[in-house]
Amino acid sequence: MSDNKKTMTQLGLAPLNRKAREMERAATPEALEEVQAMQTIAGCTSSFDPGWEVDPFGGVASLCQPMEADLYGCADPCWWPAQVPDTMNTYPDWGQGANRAEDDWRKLDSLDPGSAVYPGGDQ
Amino acid sequence: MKPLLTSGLCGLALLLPPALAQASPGSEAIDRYCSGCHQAQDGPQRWSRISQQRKTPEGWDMTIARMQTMHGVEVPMEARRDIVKFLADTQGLAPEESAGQRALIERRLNRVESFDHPSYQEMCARCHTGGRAQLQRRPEAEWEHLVHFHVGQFSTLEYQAMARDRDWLDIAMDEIAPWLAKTQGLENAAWDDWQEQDAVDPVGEWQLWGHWPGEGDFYADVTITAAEGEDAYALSLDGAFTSGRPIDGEGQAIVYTGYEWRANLSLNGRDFKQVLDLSDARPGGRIFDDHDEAFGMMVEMARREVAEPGLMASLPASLKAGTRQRLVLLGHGLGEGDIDLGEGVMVREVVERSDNRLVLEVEAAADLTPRWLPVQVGEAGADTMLAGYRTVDRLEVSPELGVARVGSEATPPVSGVFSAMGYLGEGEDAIPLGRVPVTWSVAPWDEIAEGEEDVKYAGTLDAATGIFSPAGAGPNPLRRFDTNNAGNLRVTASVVGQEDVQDDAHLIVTVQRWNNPPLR
Repeated sequence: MSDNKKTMTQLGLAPLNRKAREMERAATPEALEEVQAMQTIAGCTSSFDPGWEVDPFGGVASLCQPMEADLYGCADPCWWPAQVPDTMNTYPDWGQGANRAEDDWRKLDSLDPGSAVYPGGDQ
Repeated sequence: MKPLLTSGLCGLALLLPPALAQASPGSEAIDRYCSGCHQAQDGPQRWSRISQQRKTPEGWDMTIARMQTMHGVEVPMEARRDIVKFLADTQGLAPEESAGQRALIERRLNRVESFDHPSYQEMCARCHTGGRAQLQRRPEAEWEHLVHFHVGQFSTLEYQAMARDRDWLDIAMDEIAPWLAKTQGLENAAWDDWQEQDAVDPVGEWQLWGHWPGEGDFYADVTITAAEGEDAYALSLDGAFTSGRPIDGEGQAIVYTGYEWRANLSLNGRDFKQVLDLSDARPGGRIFDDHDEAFGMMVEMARREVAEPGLMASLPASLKAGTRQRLVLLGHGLGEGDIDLGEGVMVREVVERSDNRLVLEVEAAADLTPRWLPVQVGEAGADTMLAGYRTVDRLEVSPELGVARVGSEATPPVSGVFSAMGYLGEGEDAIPLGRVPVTWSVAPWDEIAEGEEDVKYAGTLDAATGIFSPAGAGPNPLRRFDTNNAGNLRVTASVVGQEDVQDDAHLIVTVQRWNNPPLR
């Protein structure tokens, strides 16, 4: 639990739009307890800053969307490495050839390390 | 777990002390591809960092994949298979140790995890499932190495939410690693005991049953034969849905650790994976689509040759008063004797009858008393397997919270697959009716979802099957800020003919993920 009980406003940060206002609400000490106690579904991240699959309110309206607009802002600093390939260390070439994710998102392939568990082929 | 004695050579190897044991293709592959870094130590077939861990087959495979991706090791697929087989067999998990995380192995993700530790969720399970680490066994030094690996590889880890608010590294080293070493240490009596057990031999005749989403209940005769390769098998399936439509297929399987069945199946032309725990007399598990893991079916399997008569399953689990329908009873010793389904249920036609299976056309009287129906077939009987009902008292939709994902060619969509179970009565005495006929609908979860028109954009729910097909990935120029086709939805099931008997579930339709290892 954070020792810093100040709100974003008290820290001099002013929300400019609806999403930011909702994040401000999520960052109040009262809401913090609720947010941090919340558990997400297996395989989804519960790092709600602002969240990959689900936002701090258990919905999707406060996610950074379209996520393609900031996809490399997630991949480059290794922000959700279990969901998004981290180009910082592990998959440095993942975004190569897809310079602008908003336009080139179809070129971004799933990671495919193959599987040796099931019989036959590479799958 | 003792391996099956499939050859004299194997038998000889078992009699030799470990130091003289025959090297296997897996251990030779480790020597060849891994021992440059993982040095041989403490005797034969032991290597640094490798011999101090135990994992599932998937866990070992993910480790090798990580070595390939992060450290550039080049391992041919055949050698990788040999290594996974060797390590899962000699350093795997006992059935008791994997029991708590079968859902993760079976790729059942629409559930919320909980753990007996105040901060494990935030410390570890905020990126991946907590179950992923729960399927490993290590001494404390190895858990500490795992912490250090995470900090080194994912170096902004300590800046993220639920890390920057605390001394993440000290908590990981001083609290989490010791807790994991205590609860999931390398040494365990369950593993020692399992290694003394004979490996399960799956060869033979089985029957299998389950529910295919959108299609219905099905049953199949399964024939398993030995195939070329260590603990490798071939299987064929021949059966039908309760509607009468045939289901058939074939596949190949490998058994790891003496009980971990992994198969590739083709069923009615669709490719699936199959996970079974063979340590149980009636093995259970899941068949699922590897590219759309929500689409799957829980299955049970039982040997067909059992001396003791008995009933194992009824498809469906209930009969509605005033209806005529097909009923399939599965078990042993069903080939002869009277068939009695209780007062008010008439057998109109015996469609198929064998020692293991009865396929009947039955009619339930309009004045059928709602209750468990005592079922008797020859000497086999069951008092709480088949229920009769007139109306449904309560409906329960599962999962309560589901996550579907928008998709594209590179990242296939993940469906929402819901089911609705009916009940008679409340509390402990409630009688489960199994799946009952319902109509499905979808609505915005809240005002924001309504304002953003999530229902319109996120995908479509099949009103008859409860299967949600998400919309396409990518920015949508028709939506505000070009947002993705995400949605926050309420899925509701209503009993057909009893529209006021409803239940609903929360469906999050969200963005894709590119990193999809077998253990999330």
